Amino acid sequence: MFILTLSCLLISCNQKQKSTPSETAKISKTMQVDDLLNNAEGLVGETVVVDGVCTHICRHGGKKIFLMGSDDTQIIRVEASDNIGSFSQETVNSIVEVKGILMEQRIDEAYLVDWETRLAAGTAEEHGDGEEGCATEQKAQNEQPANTEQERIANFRERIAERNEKEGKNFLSFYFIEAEEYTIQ
Amino acid sequence: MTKKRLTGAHWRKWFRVIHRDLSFFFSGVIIIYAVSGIMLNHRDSIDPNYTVKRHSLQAEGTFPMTQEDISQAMVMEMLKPIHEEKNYTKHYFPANDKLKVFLKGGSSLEVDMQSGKAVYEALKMRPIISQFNWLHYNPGKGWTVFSDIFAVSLIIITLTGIFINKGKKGVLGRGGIELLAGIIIPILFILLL
Repeated sequence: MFILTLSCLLISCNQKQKSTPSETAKISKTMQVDDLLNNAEGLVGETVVVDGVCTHICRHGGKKIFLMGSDDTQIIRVEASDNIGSFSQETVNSIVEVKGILMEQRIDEAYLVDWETRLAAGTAEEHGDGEEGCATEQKAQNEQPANTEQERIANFRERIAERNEKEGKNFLSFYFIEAEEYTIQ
Repeated sequence: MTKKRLTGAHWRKWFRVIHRDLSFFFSGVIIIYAVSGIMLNHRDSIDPNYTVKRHSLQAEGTFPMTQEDISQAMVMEMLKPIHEEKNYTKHYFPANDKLKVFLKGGSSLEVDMQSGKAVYEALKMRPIISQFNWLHYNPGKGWTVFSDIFAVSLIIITLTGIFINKGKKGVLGRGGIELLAGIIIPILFILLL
């Protein structure tokens, strides 16, 4: 009886992560990845609904997927909230609709120095299949191909300097969604 | 009323009961974590969730083609020989002369639009093991609670197991030496790596 009750409770906890497409559509109009990226600055912190082809799921736990818009220059990272846990493998190469909060990740000098410090101490988070990190994530951030983490850091520094010169902003902004729900279409 | 003295034998009896019942109950989960653990340990060399087969083929149509020549209907025709037309998701052009088609289930087709040479990457989800991996990755709050209970139970199974036997084969004999040897290995890894 105890086991049965526990099982029912645990299963009901797990059923919160997915909603039907019509439920999601009622909450907000579904955006395309291209539109979202073009208007990202003004939507930070807001709940958005977006759909796109899932081109990749993180092999390091299935906590991230990447949705592509019109082509592979229009990619947004989607991270699973605690409510979702990890994404299903069935998302890969399917159209996935995601509802979640649009977040901004800023990369500035302090971020890069912290990254370098963690690398030196050997405590930097490993991600992807090799030292160079996840290729899809790098593509989503329009990064140049890099063989090492140090090379990636140098490339970021160069881009920050370029942006500072052009726009007076000494950081790079990358956008991602913290997903509360998702549906595979 | 006389007070019953709790002897070693009394405790060992209870340890055996707890150890046995928890072990039976969590056997399935132990297998799930062990099998998926092996697969995930080797994920850099083996895809833990899919079997991947690459097939070289010649796409249907007259080549060379430009991006303007390609319609969705044409892409569907290309998918027919590989029986994937029902799994079409989307296509795009990663380069001027390259066409990539995403297929539900994870497969894809890449076509060189100059020659029509194509690579069909057929992915097939590993049955059962992919579900084990999904659980190992922690699919949600419910599983977090259950796996926490499982983790605590593993500690209980281990501690009760240590004290079930007494004598030469117990913790004060051969069992103790095995226990220490098993602890030394991870300590060596921590110190030396």
